[in-house]
Amino acid sequence: MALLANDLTKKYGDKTVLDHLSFKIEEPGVYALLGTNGAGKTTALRILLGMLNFEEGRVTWKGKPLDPTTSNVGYLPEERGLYPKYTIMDQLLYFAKLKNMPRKEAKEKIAYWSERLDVEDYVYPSKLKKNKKKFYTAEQLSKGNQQKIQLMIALLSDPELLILDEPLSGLDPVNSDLFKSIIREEINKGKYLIMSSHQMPVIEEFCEDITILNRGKTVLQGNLNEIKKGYGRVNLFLRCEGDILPIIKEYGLSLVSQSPMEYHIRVEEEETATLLLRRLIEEQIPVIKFELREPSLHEIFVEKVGVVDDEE
Amino acid sequence: MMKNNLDGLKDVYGFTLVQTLKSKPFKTFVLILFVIALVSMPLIELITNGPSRESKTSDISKVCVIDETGLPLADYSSIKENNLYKDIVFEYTDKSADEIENEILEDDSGAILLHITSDMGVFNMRYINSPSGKVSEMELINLSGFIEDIFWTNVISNLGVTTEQKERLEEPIITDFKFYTGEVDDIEEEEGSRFGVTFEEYYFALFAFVCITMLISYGGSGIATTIVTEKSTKLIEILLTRIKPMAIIMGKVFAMLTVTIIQLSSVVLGLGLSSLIYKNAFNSDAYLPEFLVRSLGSSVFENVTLANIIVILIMYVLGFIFYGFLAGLTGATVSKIEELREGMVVYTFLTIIGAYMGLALPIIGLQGSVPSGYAHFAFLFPISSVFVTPVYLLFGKVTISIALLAILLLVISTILVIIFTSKVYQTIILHQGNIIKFKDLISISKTSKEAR
Repeated sequence: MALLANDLTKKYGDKTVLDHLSFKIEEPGVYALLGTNGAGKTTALRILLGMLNFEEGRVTWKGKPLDPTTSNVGYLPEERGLYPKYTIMDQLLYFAKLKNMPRKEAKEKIAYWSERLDVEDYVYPSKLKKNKKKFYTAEQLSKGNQQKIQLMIALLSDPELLILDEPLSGLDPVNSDLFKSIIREEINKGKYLIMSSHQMPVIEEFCEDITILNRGKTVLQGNLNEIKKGYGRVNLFLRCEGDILPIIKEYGLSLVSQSPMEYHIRVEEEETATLLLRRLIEEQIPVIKFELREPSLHEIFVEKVGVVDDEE
Repeated sequence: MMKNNLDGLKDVYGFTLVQTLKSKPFKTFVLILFVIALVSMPLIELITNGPSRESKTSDISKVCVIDETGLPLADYSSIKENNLYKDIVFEYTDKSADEIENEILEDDSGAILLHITSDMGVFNMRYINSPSGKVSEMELINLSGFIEDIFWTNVISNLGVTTEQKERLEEPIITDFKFYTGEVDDIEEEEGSRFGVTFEEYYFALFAFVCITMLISYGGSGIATTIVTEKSTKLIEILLTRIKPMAIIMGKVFAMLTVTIIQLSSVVLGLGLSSLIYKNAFNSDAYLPEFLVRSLGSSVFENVTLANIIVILIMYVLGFIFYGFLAGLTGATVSKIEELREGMVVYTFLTIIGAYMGLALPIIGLQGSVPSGYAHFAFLFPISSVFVTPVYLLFGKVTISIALLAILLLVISTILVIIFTSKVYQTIILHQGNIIKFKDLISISKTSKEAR
């Protein structure tokens, strides 16, 4: 087992912000921590990273207590920033040095990642007249480019465990794809990643195992595919020629949404969908699309967090 | 293997130091200090003696002396040994004072009249210069000091008094009363008179307080600013995955301490160069302008020993670390750089209290005596000792044992501040929102435990 978070509990006064959170990462890949704002994701990540003390529980990495200052851990925090007045190269070398990287190796990594993230112009000084050089400071960079520099800081030491808190927030589609490709590369290299995000499609794209938190409590946990299978194929997407609303009502099915092109219907079990399809054929209604699929993570998330909130 | 709490301190120190030294505000500040120090000596000389001193010789060309005292005439030619006065001609005349005065009034070559009379047991020395404006009043005043000295030596030697006897005669008489009334305050009064200061010491103390306060405030402000920058930009979260919090704050404190020592060194270097410039430009034998030596007096310089300098440096380093940690702590209580001034109220308040407690000593001391209890409290209390003890050690009014006791108390206080900081720093550095109050820090320190 690579990472074990066992029974983590954090309180601020009487308020429990993280309530007995446990999860483990056994194989390389991406583990997702999901939750609404204030659910306890960042608190959990900070506890994993040893920044916050906590009342109960323990965190181990490869069988030993996790200490990010000695283990090779990379971290991209949710709220990002750099030293505004210092040059980018100085900052990169500083953070590499804090990871005990030799200067030569640090420079090689900086060169690689600068090219990969397309920020060479900002990392290396451009020559001006009279042999003067222009060094970029962080405050002269756009938000997206600052985000690239921060990702570079997290990746410089080639970490075994990479913790990414909302890695794609605020990025344009081009840079978002660039970040995704880098995350994919890290997965292929056999790295362990923990990711927190509000973008459910991103989680579905990368993550195998998830934990959904709500107000500090774990409301759902497990392998994403297994969870989805557990729900069954309950979403029916149907496109036909003609009005089929009377038939849907006749079967007592719940209509989730309707667009000019498509019906989204919730079915209790797959057999109901088969019966509906048989009926449409009998009625000789041309069926253009008939898709039966599991709920999306978005739906599961809304359902789980909504249910817990309703119960409370 | 668990990482030592101070691992990475060297990296934080190096980075903070280099970035501060590279910053424009630092370069500008040091350049200004250096230039001020560099021009200080020649400037003081020019201000006190006027621009005519640039010629390196006095503008007074001739002194016409009328001596009506009836005493044997003095020989003023020894004044010429001073390069400034090497071209002056001293000439005794039998003409009447009115006659010479009329000649002087029409003269524009720099001649002056010295009319010496004796009346009712008082020697009068009257100087008259030409209204042409060639000779300044300051030049006359400076020359009069030398002339007066030679005249008096002449008077004394004509009485058969040797040079050594003359020196004894010139020793001041200090009258002191030890008047017991039976009150307890008597002993304190006697003790307190030890801490009285002269005007020269008073001005030197003011200058020293301003320097120490400026350095400690500059350093503290730098520490707090870098800490709140890391906090507001959330860089602290990345740093905490690489290094322990105590190494971060300690690295910054030592870096800023080095920065202030560099600033101080630039001033000392500037003053040294300035003295050299003064010595060469004004063809003087002394390294310091006469005005400075006269103003500060010898008492300020006579205790500049290696041991005292080492004790003073230790006190400054400890005082800086003490205030530096307080600055770091208060800087971590705010979340935005705009709130820094508000958040540092406690730190600023303590610095001002410390500086004013120290400042009160020379102010009260000018009256001749300072309550002994208060003086010792100010010398030993860690808030004020860094401002006052080094200065009074130089005056010879603080014994080395008191200074060592002050160092011990400062060490204990600094350790306590560091322990308190280690208890609360990691919690408050991640806090976002309102400024953390002092009572909140106390409750955090009671409940906190090491995060890792």
